[in-house]
Amino acid sequence: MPTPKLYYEERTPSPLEQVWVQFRHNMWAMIALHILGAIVLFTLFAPVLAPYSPNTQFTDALSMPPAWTEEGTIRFLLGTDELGRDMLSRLLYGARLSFGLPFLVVLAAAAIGIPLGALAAMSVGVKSSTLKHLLDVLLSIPSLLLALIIVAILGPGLDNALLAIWLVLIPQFLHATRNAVHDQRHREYVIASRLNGVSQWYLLSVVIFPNTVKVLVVQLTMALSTAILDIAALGFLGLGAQSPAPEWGSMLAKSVEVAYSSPWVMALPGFALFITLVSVNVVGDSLKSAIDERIKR
Amino acid sequence: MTRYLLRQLSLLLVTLFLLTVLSFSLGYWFPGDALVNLSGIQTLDSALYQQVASSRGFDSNILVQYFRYLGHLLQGDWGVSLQDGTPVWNEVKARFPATMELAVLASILALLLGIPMGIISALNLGRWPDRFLMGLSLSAYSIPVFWLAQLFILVFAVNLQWFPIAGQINPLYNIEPVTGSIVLDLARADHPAKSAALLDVLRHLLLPLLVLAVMPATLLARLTRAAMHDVLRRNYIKSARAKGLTASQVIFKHAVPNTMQSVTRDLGVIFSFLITNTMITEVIFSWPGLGSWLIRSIYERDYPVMQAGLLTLAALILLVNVLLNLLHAWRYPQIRQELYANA
Amino acid sequence: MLSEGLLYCAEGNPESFNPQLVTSGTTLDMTANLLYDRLIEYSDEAKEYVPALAESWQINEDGTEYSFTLREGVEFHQTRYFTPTRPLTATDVQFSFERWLNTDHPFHLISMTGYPFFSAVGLDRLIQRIEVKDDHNFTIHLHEPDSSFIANLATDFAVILSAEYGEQLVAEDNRVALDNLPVGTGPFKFQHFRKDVSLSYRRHQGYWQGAAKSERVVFRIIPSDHKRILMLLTKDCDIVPYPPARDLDDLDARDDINLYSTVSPNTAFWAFNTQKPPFDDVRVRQALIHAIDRESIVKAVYFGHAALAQSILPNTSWAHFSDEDAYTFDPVAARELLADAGYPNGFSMNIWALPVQRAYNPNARKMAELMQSDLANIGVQVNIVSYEWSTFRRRLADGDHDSVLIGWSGDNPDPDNFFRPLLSCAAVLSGSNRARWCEPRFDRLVMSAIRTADRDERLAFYREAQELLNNQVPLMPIVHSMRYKATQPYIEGMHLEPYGGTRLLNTHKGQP
Repeated sequence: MPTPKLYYEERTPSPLEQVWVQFRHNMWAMIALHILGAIVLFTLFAPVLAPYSPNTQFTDALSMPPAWTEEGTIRFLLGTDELGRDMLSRLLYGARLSFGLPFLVVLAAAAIGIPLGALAAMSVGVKSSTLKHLLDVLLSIPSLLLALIIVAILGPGLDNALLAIWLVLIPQFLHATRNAVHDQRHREYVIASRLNGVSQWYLLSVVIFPNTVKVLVVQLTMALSTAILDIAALGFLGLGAQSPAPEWGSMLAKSVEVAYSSPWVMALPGFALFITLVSVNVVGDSLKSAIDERIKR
Repeated sequence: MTRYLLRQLSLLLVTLFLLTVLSFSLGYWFPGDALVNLSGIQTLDSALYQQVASSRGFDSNILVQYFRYLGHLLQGDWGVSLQDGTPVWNEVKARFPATMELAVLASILALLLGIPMGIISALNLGRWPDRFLMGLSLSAYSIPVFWLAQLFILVFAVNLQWFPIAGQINPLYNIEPVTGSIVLDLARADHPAKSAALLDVLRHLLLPLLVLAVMPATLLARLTRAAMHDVLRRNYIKSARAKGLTASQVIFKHAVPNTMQSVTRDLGVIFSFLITNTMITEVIFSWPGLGSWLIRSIYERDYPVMQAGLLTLAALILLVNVLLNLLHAWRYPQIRQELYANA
Repeated sequence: MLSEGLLYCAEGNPESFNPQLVTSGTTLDMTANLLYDRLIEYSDEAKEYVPALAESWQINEDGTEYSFTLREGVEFHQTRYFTPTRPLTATDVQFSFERWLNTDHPFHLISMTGYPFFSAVGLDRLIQRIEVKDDHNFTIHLHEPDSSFIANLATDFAVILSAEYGEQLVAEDNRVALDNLPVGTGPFKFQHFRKDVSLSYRRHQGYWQGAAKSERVVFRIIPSDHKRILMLLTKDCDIVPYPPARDLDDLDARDDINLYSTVSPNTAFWAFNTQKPPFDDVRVRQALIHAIDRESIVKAVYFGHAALAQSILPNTSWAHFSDEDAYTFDPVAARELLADAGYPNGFSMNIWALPVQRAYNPNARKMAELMQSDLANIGVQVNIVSYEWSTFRRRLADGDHDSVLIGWSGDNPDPDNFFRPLLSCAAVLSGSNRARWCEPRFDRLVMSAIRTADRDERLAFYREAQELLNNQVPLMPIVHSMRYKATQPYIEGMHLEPYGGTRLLNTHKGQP
């Protein structure tokens, strides 16, 4: 028997809970979140979920349309490509390359960029606005162009593409974090804490950091969507993942050859990419507005 | 303003300087001989090699080499292609206008589509036009441009046969490529079938432009909506309404101009995205611009071309960003105040 | 304006405008029969060599002196960079031949690539001198008889240039223009070229066979085959060479597209760089060959539109000899051979896949992917390499590859055309021997075969040479295929020759 509530307790939900409450009310956001969850599952369990290996060539079933069409067969739910490889298996394994790897790259870039940015903001030396403006301008060079430079130096390939995107994302995290922390540094509440004599670390991690969460969340989702798009774009241009890797961008590039005769081979990887990007963007967007709402209240 | 102008110009110079340093360093970072990578001259003739080496300061220290590189760059000697030995600068001259043509026209199209969308959304905040437009823009924003291009080609060109899918014009029109931009070339050409040729150019332009404009238009729509939403809550709008101005007067005389202020600030970012997409679109539509040239040079390991392509595109983006900053500050003097306060 | 021109969608940029300098079919298609003429030609209808610029010729009894009489009144192209003052004479022929024969010739060294066909078939060593008798008579003296000489003169490479233009260029000190701003006697003359975009030709009004039916020919450079087909469907191209095999059935079934085909004596092959270990070991080569399922290649890459090859020499040739056992699919034997050679766990290698589509190989990349998975079964890891065509050719000639998927289209009906240019020691130096395989015994056999005009004797030599190839396997023949061109329905006067590049003399737009 549950203990009866003796006192009326007004429990304020934690900030995180408040954001979640806001977020949950947004139907599209929840749909997107579920899709992302599914993609994460595919990424983790592709070998279990996929009916075949992504590179097995069924020479008896070249360019088989998806199962729901007349010529399709249930053996290949989403059809096969021109080499007789199962599209479903390739797409599932592709989630690892096109979603999993960019995700890891973003985490790795954040792990380096955020501390460096915080450090830069807290250290007194690097606060000249000239440097800020300089970075502002230099960072206006699009990430794909920078990635192209790096791939040009290192040579084409998925690992080089990942390295390139990682290198490109670090300064973005650094810059965003630095600006966010810098914005807060001279707010009254920070000065108040400082006057209380807290340590720099405490000031940064407990006082300032929670107030930069919005910027960082936005930056993280933006970086994720950039990384997914750029890695796919490099794959599409033949400078990233190389065949037979089932990376969605390079699958798309290959599929344009048969787009006319077997359109599903082109449509599916593009659709997978599109759904992933929409979900990431919707989740990011909704998180941002949910945090906004919380702050407003 | 003068102070701001000087500040921005010096910023531009510094970034351009950094860019040339980067471009120069690429010569060393690329595999192979730095001299060959920078000049594109491959020769077994040692006398010729020595001549090139001394003209590029390779008998001296790296600082001299850099300044020689800069000198060659400014004189329009950008080396020759490792592929076919053609001067890189000539190719840049012919291809830059083709890229700009796409980028500028797509920007205009994006502005024409995106800003009205944003205004309509903001005026109907939360109601169906807003939901519809924002839903559309969020999904359109997420479509990879290379997929969208393929879908458009399949639907509009191959199945409906409305548009051609490659190049700037039917080459049988025999327009002499002078500037590289087909619109300009056609305008200056003395041609018997000019109007037919113009129609053909438009048909060639439409698909790439649409593909390119989608992403910036949706970004613009979102920015405009947010900015307008902000503006509409300001007191001067209330006072304008209170004065008895009609709704359209309030919107077009007061709200829209003030909305444009914050939209202008972000045009630079949008232009950067646009250039990225232009590179990919050029590849797909066989457009003879810088982007397709740069990407092919990476497959071919044609280092002088890579350097030239990167340098030109990056410099273009920097230049446009600084120009937009200047435009912004010139058009909206209150911004300058804020900038100084920050400085 | 549009109705007087042809849009021909080509698969790559021409490397040069002079066929003497190249071996690539792409360049030959766009230059050889359009800009130039040869002394003699091979007529497929008559199955014999027929006069072209040379009206007649005689051979002395030893077979070492060939005397030609030139056609009179053949005009060279008048272009913005050259105005001819005289018709074709024997000095033009001498100029054209000595340009590649004579290493002291002022134009000899301006070719960065040498003269690969002539050095591969040994014409540069065969011809002793060219003796000009008068304006229209000359004699070519050979060091020794060669039964393939006439056949080689009829190839796309043996074009006739203008000596007068050469003099002008020497005076202008602009000798490279000889190959970049071409002047010939062919039905079309050069107008302008924009790399990666288009190449335009205009009709040569004074062509000796009568002016061409089309006023202009524009080649659009479209490297991807699927895009060429899409452009055919969207009417952006009038003529599309090498339509991909996967679309052939579909194109054939359509009413709004015409599909032309001809037998094209060609062979697609997979050549190993036999100068690089481990490919210098014959067991390794045999192992790799037995690992490949060629039947599924025919199905997946050619969609059945090709015949499995058992020899480098096409099955249409009289000297063809096939050995059923040399190239069978046998992974078990492959693994054993590999273990014998000391690689029980395999190794990793690269396959260079031809980046352009040719009649013999419409999709080398896909073929390489199929082979990649076959070879993975015997533990060999494959990395597929591809560059833009001109880079590809340059690096290939340098011998950077482990193995390459490429092929050869016959330039003339002589069997020699498939042996010396591809596998002789001389062809290693000229770069057209993709296997970089130099076997003195093979060289002796093919040389003996051309020194005699007796067909039975030649047959015996060629049979032995093919047996040697089947044992040593410097390359794996894959298929022999047909050659196709797809056009809009209103294109009239299309004619596909089995040998040599594109001809467009009578091709024109009819009523749409």
